[in-house]
Amino acid sequence: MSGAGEIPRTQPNVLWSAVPDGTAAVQGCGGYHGRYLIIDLTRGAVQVCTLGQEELRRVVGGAGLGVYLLLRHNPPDVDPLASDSCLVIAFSPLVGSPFTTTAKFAIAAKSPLTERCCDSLCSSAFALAGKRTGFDALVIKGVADQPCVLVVSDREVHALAAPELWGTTVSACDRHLAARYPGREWVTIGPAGERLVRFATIQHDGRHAGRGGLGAVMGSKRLKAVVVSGNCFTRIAEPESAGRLARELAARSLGPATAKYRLLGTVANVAFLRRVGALPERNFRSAGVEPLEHFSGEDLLGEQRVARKSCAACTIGCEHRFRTAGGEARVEYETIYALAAACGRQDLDEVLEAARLCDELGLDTISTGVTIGFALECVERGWLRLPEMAGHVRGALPGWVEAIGLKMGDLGELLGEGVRRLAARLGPEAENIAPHVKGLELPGYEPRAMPMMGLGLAVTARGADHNRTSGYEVDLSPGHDRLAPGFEQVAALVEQENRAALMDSLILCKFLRRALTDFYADCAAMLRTVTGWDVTSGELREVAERVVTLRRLFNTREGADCSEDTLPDRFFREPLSGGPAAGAVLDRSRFYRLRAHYYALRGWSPDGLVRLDTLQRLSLLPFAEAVGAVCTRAQ
Amino acid sequence: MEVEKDCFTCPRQAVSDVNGNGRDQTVIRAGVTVEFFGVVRLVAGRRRLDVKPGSLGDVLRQVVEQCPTLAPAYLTSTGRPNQCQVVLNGLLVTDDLSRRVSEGESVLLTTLDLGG
Ligand code: SF4
Repeated sequence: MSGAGEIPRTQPNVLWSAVPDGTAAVQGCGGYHGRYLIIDLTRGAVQVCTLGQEELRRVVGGAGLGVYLLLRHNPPDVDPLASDSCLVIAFSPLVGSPFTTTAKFAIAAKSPLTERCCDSLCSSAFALAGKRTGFDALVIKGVADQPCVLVVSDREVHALAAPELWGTTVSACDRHLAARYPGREWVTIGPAGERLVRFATIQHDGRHAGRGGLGAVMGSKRLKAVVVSGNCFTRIAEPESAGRLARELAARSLGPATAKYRLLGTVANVAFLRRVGALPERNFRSAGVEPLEHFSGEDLLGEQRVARKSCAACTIGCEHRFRTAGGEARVEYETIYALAAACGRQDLDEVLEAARLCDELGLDTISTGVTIGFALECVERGWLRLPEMAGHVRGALPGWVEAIGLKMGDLGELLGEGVRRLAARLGPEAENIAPHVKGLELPGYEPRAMPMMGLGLAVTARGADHNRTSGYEVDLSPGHDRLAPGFEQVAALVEQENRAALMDSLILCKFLRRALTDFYADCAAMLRTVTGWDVTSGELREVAERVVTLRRLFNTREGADCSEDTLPDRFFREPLSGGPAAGAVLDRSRFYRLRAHYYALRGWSPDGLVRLDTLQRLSLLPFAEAVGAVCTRAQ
Repeated sequence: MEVEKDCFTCPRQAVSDVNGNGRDQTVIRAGVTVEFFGVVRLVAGRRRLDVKPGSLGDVLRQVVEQCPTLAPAYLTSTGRPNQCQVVLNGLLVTDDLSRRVSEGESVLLTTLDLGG
């Protein structure tokens, strides 16, 4: 692969530097600095802005804070890859606290893949070091005049020319930065981000803010890496209570509620979801039919696993690494779904090597695999001419991944745009089977076998997004007909979505959720001990609703309407062939009835716009008016 | 951060036994097939088990008798699901222990944590 070699050590070349003007940090509560930093790469300037307690309390942090700042600073209708487009890195009050799984940060931007709201999470020491810069968030805008590294500390911000890093893979870039910045932390992009692949990731320590193409936003700014460090610690309001609570939670995190993640990782889903007919295969042509048992976590564990890793400050440790032809790779359920099942590939070595390449190039494994799977079906049907994809060549998958990540040839250029844009070039027949929602490629849950997951994927702001909906929890709950859900299940879906929004804002890892005995009360107790606020369960329910609503407001401001809240036509027309859910197909009128109920429960109008009374109830009306996100038709 | 040990350990050897040579094959040929997935498979130490038809409660009681390591984390000693998901024939998610499970039907068991 080009660009993978060692980098010559050169003297850093400072493009500009600036000292953030000190402003008083938030007074009277723990967990926050009460300020964020705007960095303009075009002008080489920085600006410190304050965050009041009241506004922080409304959105908490992480995804909530990221989307809030995005609405405030991202100009409406801006091209996500244009200079004015903003990239927000948001920390949260629990970062640096004693609570397990809280070393996380959110990155938010308008997605180049969906042109809608995108917030993506990533983990580990970058969150800890980033928050110690003394800011609750960094808002990066503008474009550097050459490839650069942005260095943010608690004293100074500067940009360094980094032509020698441009073109490097993620691990080569990591090695270089480790030598240059010992003791600091960074996020980077790979070659895919530099080449503006629309589903490029942003990476830190092997973890990726994966969905929606935020790596391309960073690449469009000629920003290869953001390096952070500092010594600004935030206060914990009630340290003894926080410590006691943290010890209890850590103990619970080691029990059976999280054993799956520790022992097997998310690849544990492969065999089970396949067996219940929910693992989509060959571009959603079947589910639970192909012989994919050998990709199951249970089987991989005995044969290929080489290590288990953990994010910083986590007692669970869910990252399982497997041996591949070119080294080792992090493998998740979604990796196997996208690169094996969705592409109809059976060869384990080929799939694991493709997974490794996705991480090295900085590609979202879901979008990469699903786009390849879609292209394969289009080639098979004669709608797309890509000779290198004809005939299912054994061992070809890593080469296709590399072509996408480096945007090489027709294959790289076409597939690097994602499923929706590729389908638009191929015509309506291809669009009917293109597996995306709002432009985001579908994750590994077959909507015909999991209709509530399907509804969740249809309505979430980011597009087909399993991490924001968790609708599978509803589908696989007892007491209803899984293939014919009703209004009760819609209410459960809303609740799952709210919980996810709260966890993404605090931020707590979702893999901890079963270890929380009383979800909102446990979350409130954590936030209370860190901030000192008298926060209640009810208040946090409202925060969760507010975060979901903010994402919706962003999309509405960008011109989104309810026509986007749907699923590919295939799911309403083609019954599943084979597997336990054979014959299942989505009923269009039932789907739209359930969607209407979802809108009503959210306080949105029948055409999916946030109603003014909902904005008032969530104390969002003045903000929504100020950022131009109120739709007057929403009555 | 490398994780060295797990306090809820399943030895690697046990894993290869479970997935390996088929020593845990069918005990009773005609009956209800119970299939184990994920951590439940690791803890049960087998991929599948055939038991006699009866109510779902009867089936799960037979499971815990033959796989006592599943209690108490995943099934109680009397066979009640605990942190455990029960699916009939790959389709019906149920917690109705009185439901009849007939010959030829299958019962899938896995943990509740489905996220990924
Ligand atoms: S459970 Fe996994 S993803 Fe979550 S914090 Fe721990 S290691 Fe990171």
